[in-house]
Amino acid sequence: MSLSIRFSELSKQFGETIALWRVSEQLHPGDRVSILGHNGAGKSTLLHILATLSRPSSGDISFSLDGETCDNPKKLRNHLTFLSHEPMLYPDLTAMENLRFINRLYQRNLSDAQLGELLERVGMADFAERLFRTCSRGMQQRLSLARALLPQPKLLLLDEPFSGLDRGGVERMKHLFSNTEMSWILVTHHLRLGYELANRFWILHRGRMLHSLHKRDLSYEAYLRFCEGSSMEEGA
Amino acid sequence: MSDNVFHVFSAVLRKDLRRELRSREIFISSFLFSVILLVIIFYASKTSGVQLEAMSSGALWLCILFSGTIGLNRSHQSETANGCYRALILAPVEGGWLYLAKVCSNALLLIVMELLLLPLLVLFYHTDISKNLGMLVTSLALGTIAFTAVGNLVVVITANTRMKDVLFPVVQLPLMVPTLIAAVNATELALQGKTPSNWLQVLVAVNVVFLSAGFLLYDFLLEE
Repeated sequence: MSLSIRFSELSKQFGETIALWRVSEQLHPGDRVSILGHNGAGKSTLLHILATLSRPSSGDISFSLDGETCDNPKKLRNHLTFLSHEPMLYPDLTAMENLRFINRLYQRNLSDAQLGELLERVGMADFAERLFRTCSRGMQQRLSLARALLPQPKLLLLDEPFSGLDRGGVERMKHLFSNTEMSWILVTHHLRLGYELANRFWILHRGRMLHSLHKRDLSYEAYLRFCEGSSMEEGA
Repeated sequence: MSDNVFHVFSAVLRKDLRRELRSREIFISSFLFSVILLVIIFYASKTSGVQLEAMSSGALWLCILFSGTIGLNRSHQSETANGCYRALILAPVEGGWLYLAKVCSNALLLIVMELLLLPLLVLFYHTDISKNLGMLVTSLALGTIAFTAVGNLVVVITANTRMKDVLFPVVQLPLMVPTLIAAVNATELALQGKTPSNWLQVLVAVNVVFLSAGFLLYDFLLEE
C-alpha cells in the first residue's frame, strides 16, 4: 500500500489572518520532507491540513492509495499518523494501557508481546507499567512516537518530534526515521537533523511556498541560510 | 453493530472507566458537591417549614444537574489536556461511536453517584423509594442519559471558543430545560408510586433527538 498527496492552491485563513496562501506541492511514496520556515510561516497549519485535522479555506488536496484517489478521511487515517509536541496519550493510564487503547482504536490486533517490542524500539520497555503522567518529558515523547508507529502508517507527520528528548532518544528516533520505508514530513528546529534525514525540502515564508528542493539541489550551507532567514527574505 | 464498531465503542468506554477508577477525580468531586447540596436544601427546607419529602425529586435533580456539569467539564478537560482528543479524531473511526461511548461512560458514573445519593434522600428527606422502584430507576436512567447526551454535544460545540468555560453552562442549561422538567416530574411520580408514562415518553424523545444529533454531528464538531 502506498500513499501519495497532491495539493494545489491551498490556502488557510483564521479570520483575517492568512496562515497559508496558495500553496501547491506533491508528496510521493518514500519522500522524506523537511519543512523550513520561521515561526508563523504556516508549517504546522500545513501539517494539520495534511493530517486531515483541519480543512483548507480554499484549494484542492487529493490523496491516493495505491494510485487510486481516496477522499474518505476515515480510510486515510488508517495510513497516516501525527506526532507533535502534544503526546496525545492519557496521563492516568500506563504506557502499555495507552498503547492497548490505540491498538483497539486502529483495530490492529497486536498482541501484548508485539506492543512490548514496540516499546523496546523506542527505548521504553522497562517502563511499560508506569503511569504516563509520572514519565519525564523525554519518556512521554518516546511513548508518543510508539503511539504514532503502532498503526504502521504509510505517512508520518512530525511536528517537533525531537523536543524534550535526550541525546539517546534523538539518536534512536533518527535511526527509526532513516531506516523506514514510510514517507514522512518533518517540522523541526534541529537544523542538522532536518537536513541529514530529509531528501526533499519545502521552504515556507509567511504562508507561501518559496521553494521545493531536492537534497541534491540544496547544500547544507544554503540550507542553513534558508533556516537563518536571509535567503527567505531575498526569495520573498 | 459490527465487530469493528463494537471494538471502538468498548475501547473508549473501558478507557474512560479505567481512568476514572484509577483517579476517581470526577466521581469524588461530583459526589461531595451533591452531598453538600442535599444538606443545604435539607436545612433550607426544614427552617422554612416545607414538607421535606416533596422536595426530594427536585433536590436530587439539582444535584445531578450541577455535579453532572462539573463532571462533564472535567471529563472534557482530561481529553483536551494532552491533546488526547486529537488522537481520537485522527483514528479511523466514526465520530458518532466515540460520542455514544462518551455519553455511556459519563452516564454510568452519574448513575452510580445517583444510587449512592438515594440512601441519603431516605435519610434526610424521609423519602420512600420503594413505592415504584422500577419506574424510579427508569426515570433516573433516561434522565441521566438525556443529560449526558446534551452535555457531551454542548461541551464539544463550545470547546473551540475563547470563553468555553463560561459558554458551556450558558448554552447547556437552556437546552437542558425539557430534560429537567420531564425528569423531575417522572421521578416525583415514581416516588409517589405512580407510573409516569407521559414524562418518560418525553425523556425518550429527548434522548432520540440528542443522541441522533450527536451521532451525526460529532465528526464535524470535532474538526478544528
